[in-house]
Amino acid sequence: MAAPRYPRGRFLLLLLVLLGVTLVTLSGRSGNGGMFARARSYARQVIDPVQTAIHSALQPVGDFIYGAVEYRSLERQNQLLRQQLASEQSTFVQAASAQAEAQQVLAQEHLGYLGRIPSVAARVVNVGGSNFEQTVEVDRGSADGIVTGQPVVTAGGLIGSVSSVSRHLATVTLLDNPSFSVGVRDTKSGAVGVALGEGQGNDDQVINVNVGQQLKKGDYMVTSGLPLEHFPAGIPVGRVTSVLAPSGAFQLDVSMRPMADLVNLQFVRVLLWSPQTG
Amino acid sequence: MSSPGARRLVKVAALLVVGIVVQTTFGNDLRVHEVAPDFMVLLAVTGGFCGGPDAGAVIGFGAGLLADLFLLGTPFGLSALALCLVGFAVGWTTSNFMHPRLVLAPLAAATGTMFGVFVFVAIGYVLGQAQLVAPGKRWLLVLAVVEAAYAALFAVPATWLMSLALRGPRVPVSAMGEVPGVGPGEAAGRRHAMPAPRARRRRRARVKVR
Repeated sequence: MAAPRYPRGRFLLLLLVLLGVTLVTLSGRSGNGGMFARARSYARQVIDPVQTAIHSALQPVGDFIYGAVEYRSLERQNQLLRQQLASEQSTFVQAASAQAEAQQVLAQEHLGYLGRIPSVAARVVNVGGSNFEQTVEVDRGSADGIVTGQPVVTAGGLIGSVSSVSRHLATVTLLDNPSFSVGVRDTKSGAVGVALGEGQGNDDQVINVNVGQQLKKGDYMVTSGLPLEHFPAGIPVGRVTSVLAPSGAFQLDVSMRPMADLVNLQFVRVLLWSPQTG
Repeated sequence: MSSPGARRLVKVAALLVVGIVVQTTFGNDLRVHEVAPDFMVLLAVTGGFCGGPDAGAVIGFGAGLLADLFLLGTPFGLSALALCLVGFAVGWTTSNFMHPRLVLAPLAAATGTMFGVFVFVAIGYVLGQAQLVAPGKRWLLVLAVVEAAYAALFAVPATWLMSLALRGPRVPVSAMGEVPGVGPGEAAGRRHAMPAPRARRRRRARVKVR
């Protein structure tokens, strides 16, 4: 008579669950470094060439499906563009697009707020691999001097920081990612707080702003650059969209919309800056 | 390496690698409401659907480990843990309550994927990953529904590929119990996955009908 199968199956499941919990615990303890971070970096390094080749080969298919799914919105956009085109009487659309791209790159060449901080220009080549993370991949990596933690900006201001690096690619965690935080300072009142990502399309939440601070809707927030901060001071971050003072609370309830466009990123600048080197 | 088990392992591993490559390249461009399909959850679900609870748990764990290599915001092992449970649950449900017909694959894929999203978020939240629920319940629901729709869409090819990968040594279908709509590989997987007494009862019943 055959032995019942299920106890062994349950044992296997239990073993796998224990293994999973152990991995999660070890990963949590090792933080951003350790063997798991190295394994992730190696995995990206291995898959980079394959990914780049397949991505360029399959891009038209993805575009086709996107076009089919977003047909109505694209049709509306198309109509609007046709009207604009007619009014402008422009026939050099491709040239204009190339010029716009060049302007984007040029606009990031001399960002006033960067001062003398060295930086590397990068092109966004891919969006993040998970629905639970707001990340993008850029075509510069450790070979270009990029390391984990460096701030990433566009002409609009801060967009995030480097969270993983392989030789020729880096992953940037965006400002609206729920695990992202940055110290901010109101340019008018000087009030400081911490901006936290709230997911794609949602305004960031600014915490630790005490009641009594003269913070107003429409104020601009820049990086605070306080000691132990991971970002240099003075980079534009966002604009305050609402300030609420709940009765009895010690801190204001502040929301802020990022200044930079986090959805249509094409070119970015990685600042070769760290809190230690300055 | 020449044993059927080792061959099956290599084929499933190859399928998982193909899955992660497709996920990190093609998958990310297929966004509806900013939600991309999750092929690794789909492979865990099809693993359970074709191979039963044991195979589902192992395939889910492997798929999760590969997915974890390409995630940054969650601890390593979280996807492995979640997908292992998903694979086991789908395999257990399939073995006990339904025949793994190919036409049922979209339904199983959609339900399993939706379950997978909630399991991932729930375990993550329990383990302190509060950012997973930060965007709100509505977004989570949209995410689960869109991922489930994608899973249903890709379920048939994924199930077919998984059944090929799990295909064992050639055994006459009649000798192991008919599994309509799927290949003999799935039948082989089910033969191992199904509790022996239940399988024997079904076989006896079939003989009586004949």
